[in-house]
Amino acid sequence: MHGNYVDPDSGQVRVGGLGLPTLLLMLLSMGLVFADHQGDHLITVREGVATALAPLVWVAQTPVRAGFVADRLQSRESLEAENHELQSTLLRLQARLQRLESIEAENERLRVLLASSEALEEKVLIAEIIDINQDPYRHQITLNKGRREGVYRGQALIDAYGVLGQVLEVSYRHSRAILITDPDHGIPVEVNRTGLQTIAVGSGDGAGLRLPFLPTNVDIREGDLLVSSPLGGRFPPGYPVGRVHSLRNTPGAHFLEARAHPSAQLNQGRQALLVWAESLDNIEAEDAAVEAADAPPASPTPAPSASPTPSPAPTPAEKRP
Amino acid sequence: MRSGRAGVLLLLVSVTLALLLQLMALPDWMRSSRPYWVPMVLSYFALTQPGGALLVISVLAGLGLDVAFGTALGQHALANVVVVYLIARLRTLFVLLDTWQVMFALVPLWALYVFVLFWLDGLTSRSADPTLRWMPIIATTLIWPLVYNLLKGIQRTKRED
Repeated sequence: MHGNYVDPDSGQVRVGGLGLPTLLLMLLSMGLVFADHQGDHLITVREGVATALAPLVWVAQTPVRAGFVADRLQSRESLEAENHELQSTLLRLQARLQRLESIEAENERLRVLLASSEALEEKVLIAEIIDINQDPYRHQITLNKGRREGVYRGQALIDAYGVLGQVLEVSYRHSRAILITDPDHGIPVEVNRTGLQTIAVGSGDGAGLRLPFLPTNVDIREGDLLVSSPLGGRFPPGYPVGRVHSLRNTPGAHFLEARAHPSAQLNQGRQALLVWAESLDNIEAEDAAVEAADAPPASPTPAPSASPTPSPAPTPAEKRP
Repeated sequence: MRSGRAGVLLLLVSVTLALLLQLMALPDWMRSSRPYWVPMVLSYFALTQPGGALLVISVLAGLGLDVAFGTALGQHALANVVVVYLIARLRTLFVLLDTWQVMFALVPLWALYVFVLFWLDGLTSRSADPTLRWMPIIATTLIWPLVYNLLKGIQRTKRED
């Protein structure tokens, strides 16, 4: 190997020995690509590399953090104005909350009557968005919560306005989430007005959702609210996903396509809420089981048992009817 | 051997810096024209001190990029290895050329790099938008003389020490 380190000035180089190592490494890379495409076998490798890269990512985010600090240096007046605004919002929300509490109680009573065991309250955790994927073709973010906090693969992510996306990879202290606008992401949705079930696929331009393959006679209008559907078992039902802004009906085409703006404020907030979509009892039972087993930190990957659907991030191709 | 060890150190440091530049947050409008820093730095070393260690580092840096960008594991690794090998093979040709000529002679290799990434994106059924893929080729070409002269300068001062 050292024979290849040649003084550039001497001009004497032996590169002939590189062919075989190159071939082997190419085969190795191809094998990795293939194995990664086939399933989740390489998830531990990915997590290991992600943990090793964490300091680098932290340094790379320094300019962004500097920007945050500059943002925080605000004048007293603007802070007072903001405080005032927040107080009025709080008051408004509290008034709504009182009403919602009574509705929730009523709903629970009705559910008991229906003998439904679905839990209404969901465990949530606030996570900070620490990195945005710099690849212009992917809409992914990194969060500062990981397996340590019980985050699992496929976990739903929301903000104050609607569904943001879902967790794609979990490492020990961080996790990576895919946003609903990523072209590889599909989310089952329900049209709030009619109860129509369909799939919203990310359009990839960072701004929108597509609802492809709607029957041409479907009852959907501009302004319809799309909420998350419990179908697929991944997202908690009833959170706003988007609002339809246009319908495209190509003459002669078999299907209608609707476009929607996401409800969540993508690319704006710095925090996101991780939601435990399954019932709390389940998770607590699982946690207890893990603690009882006192398993080493590497082995319990909660993803397969925690997510009801065995498939990874639902790609639109899998979900299309 | 003495220059070899210093060379490996420089290689590791510059590849780490290249990874950092590749991950650095940029405004949205600049993101799609970000130059390929990692293959650029690897290419410099493929021109000056090709070897097995360089190939292994190319693969490792590629795996880092794959994890950071959420692409299929091995995708950037393969693209790196292909470009590094070709440059090492064509090295005898490149040393005869001026920096400016090398800058243009490398364009097909950056295009090959982009193509390998694009091809594997398609193969692993990830959505790949081809419209802006050629932008980094231009950016990488324009930055190449800078990187080349910088690394060359560092190596020269090291040797004088």
